[in-house]
Amino acid sequence: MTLVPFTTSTAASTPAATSTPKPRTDRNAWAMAAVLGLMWAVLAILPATRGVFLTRTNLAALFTQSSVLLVVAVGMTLVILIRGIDLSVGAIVALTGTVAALCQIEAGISTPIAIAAAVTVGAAIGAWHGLWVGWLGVPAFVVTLAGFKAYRGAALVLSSAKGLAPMSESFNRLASTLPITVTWVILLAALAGGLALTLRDASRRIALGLAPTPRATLAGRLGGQLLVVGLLLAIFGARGIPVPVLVAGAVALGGVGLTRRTRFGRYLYAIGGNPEAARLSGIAVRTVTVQVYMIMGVLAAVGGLLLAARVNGVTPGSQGNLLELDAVTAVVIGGTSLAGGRGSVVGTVLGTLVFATLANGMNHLRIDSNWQLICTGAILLAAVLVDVLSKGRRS
Amino acid sequence: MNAAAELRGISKTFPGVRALHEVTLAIAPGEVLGLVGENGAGKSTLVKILSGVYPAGTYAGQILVGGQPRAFHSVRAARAAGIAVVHQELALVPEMTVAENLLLGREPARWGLVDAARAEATAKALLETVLGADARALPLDVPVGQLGVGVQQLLEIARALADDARVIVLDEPTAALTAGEIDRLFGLVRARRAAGAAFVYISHRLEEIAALCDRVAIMRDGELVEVVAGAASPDRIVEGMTGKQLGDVHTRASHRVIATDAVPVLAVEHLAVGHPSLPGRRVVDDLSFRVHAGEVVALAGAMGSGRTATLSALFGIARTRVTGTIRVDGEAVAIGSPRDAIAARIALVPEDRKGAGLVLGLSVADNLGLATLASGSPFGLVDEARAELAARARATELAIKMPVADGSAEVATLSGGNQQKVVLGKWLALAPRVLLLDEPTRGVDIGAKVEIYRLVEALAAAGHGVVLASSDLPEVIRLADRVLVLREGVLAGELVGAASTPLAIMQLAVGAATQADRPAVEHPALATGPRPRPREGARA
Repeated sequence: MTLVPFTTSTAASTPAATSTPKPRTDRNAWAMAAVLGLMWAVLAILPATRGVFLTRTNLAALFTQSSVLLVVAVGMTLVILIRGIDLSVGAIVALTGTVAALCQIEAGISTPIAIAAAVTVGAAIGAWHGLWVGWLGVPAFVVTLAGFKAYRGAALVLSSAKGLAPMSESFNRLASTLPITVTWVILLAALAGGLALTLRDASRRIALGLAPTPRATLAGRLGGQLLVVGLLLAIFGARGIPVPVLVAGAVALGGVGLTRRTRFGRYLYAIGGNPEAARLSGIAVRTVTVQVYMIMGVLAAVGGLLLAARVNGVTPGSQGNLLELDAVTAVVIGGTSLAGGRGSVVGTVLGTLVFATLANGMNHLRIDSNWQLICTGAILLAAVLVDVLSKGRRS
Repeated sequence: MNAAAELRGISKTFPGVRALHEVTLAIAPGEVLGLVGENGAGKSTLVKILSGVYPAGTYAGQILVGGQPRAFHSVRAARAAGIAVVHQELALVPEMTVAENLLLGREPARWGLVDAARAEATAKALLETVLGADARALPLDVPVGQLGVGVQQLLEIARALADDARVIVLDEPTAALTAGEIDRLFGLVRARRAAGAAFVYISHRLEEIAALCDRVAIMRDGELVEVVAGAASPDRIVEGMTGKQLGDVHTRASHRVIATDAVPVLAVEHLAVGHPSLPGRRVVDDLSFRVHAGEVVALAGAMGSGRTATLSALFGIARTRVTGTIRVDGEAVAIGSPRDAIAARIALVPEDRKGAGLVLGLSVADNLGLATLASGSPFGLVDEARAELAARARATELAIKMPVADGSAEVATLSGGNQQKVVLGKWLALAPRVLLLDEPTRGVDIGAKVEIYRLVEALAAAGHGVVLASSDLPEVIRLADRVLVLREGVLAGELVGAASTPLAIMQLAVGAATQADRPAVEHPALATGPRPRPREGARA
């Protein structure tokens, strides 16, 4: 009976608008996982793909090819959560790759230092963006559009507009594949850690006298982890996991942890959801903004390193071209709102896989690459439409 | 006993405006202090100084908390010292859950890792202290955007209490609440007062002030006029708020005789405007009125009483459902957009002059021609020479002072009063029948004010029907032939000619006077008297 006043004041007057408040759930993620599963099933069955889609080789390629995209898309998720955008990601990929390649080829600097140099450049660029956006209040679109031009130009200047190759052997280990035993140890350790953490969370709720985690939610979380690790072991268990996939996985896990389990993560949602409320709650909005763009810069640098290793060199004029727009596409398909404050890294992981599956599947379906662009555009609009419709329904 | 908080000799000026002058005020622990005054009296400036929105150094005077002088450089510092404000616009993040919002900015964490279970347990305990048994009905894991405004307000107070706030400022907390929610809020405030918390309660609703406050501080023109007991009569408070002296600016030339037997220029029947965010509630409810040729009818009332909403509906820019009949010169017109309104020869001078009335980057001539761009020029081409001629003529007619005579100066370079004339002039080319003026002299200096008043009077004399919405009472009295006082979307009363005094308007606006003791009002339209506001959201 006492529930009535807590629904909404509108509910009492207009029965039509009545909606019981719903707790946040994992339902969106599961719905998207189902969409992905359905896409895989269709691609597996369609005669046009000649049964090659659902093979270990193809799925391994799909994961490897989407790893750079996933790394930057996780960063883009954080940026978009605070109502920002970073259009310079592709250019940072080119510039940081160029920095690493110059260290290696021109200066003969060792791999760890070359990597550190590239990451530092990425972080510095991110801090620069954060300064403009957070402290000077310039729209992120403009600041990073300037970067989109400038960093590509800087990469071309530094490299004298020439391709740089080859990278050193140790550098190219970033694109290598780990031994089978190491693969199993890492994946099983991650699974054990994840399951333990999930169970600990549930038991702590009970210990503190809170409503216990719903059984279905708990089962879903445990099952989800088993499913993901099982899938990875099925694909890579017999061949070893590629380093880019491992790095992307680690970045994704880190992103999930950061957004869901840290103060910093809460602040991202607060700033994106209501910047004024965040400020009045004593959150250092500008500092958080700088930190977010720095994370984005570092992740773009990581993407630049992975890509340089994979192609064993850098083409400053085209490396990472339009990567930022692919990242935004993956983030939006993953259900993160461009208006900020709503979305998740899990969604971005699934969005990236949907995006990669589309590209991979259309290749197998022998769809002309020009038509692929049109299809991708249509899918993006459809994803945004779903977002807008679901938002409209709630308000 | 020390005061919970004390303001000593607080003064603040904004460029050209004295916002606060030597305000000294103490709030005792366990007290609810009412803070009243007309819009612009300095209430919110005072609150912003107390709560650190205006940092120390931007004002003169001293703030003492618990007897110690304090200088707040940020909202955060004021909060840490125990001063919390529950703003009219709620400072919650709609997408975050109840628990997350309650602890926003103070999550229990180790090494930055939020202990989610601990956070939820803390939030739960907190809600139980604040809401008592009701807390159990409130799910902690629901995004607050899904909850009613009243619940959100209570959450804000709970959050202030989470900071161990000693002084909690409630700024118009009941504006969006239903009767049941107001009861709950009052219960909460009384319980916390008994526990020693001090409240500053800002409201335009004097009956709430009387019901809740121990003392009432009355502000006028940036000064603290007096502090009276909470039980003081509403009339007494209104007198303090309005004062008696009104300057020369506000004496009107003469009252015109209006021909009321002719077909009215504007007739509004049973106008209702839906609430923008609360379906089923209305910001204007069953409003009917007429405006005759040559007449200035003012809509008065407190903020949120429906003045602007009425004008928005008449100009087709209300974003919500509008019902009712609108007639111009006796012809029923359907107005769904500004285009419809313009076609019906209704023009609006909006409240936000720079945001909605002008295109600041364009020249005076271009702005004057904006409304007529759509008509007259063949093939959509603009005849620049003709436009300049028209602009020059209009500028002379309205005595617009421009840096360059040909109208080529950017409108942003004009003074506020002259900008407002440009907004008016833009519409005159269309020969409107009805002019809607929303706060036409806000932010305009006194000289330009008088010029705008004369202009409005001249336009009325030329046969336009004018509807004026204004929170500036002297302005309303100066300009209006009739004053319609709105209270929470409903017509509270109508005052004609000399009966429209600040006192009478305020009494109607805040619902202070009952029908029996309302003085000096003699008009048949008042026979119905003020109607109680329907509490649509109230629980059965």
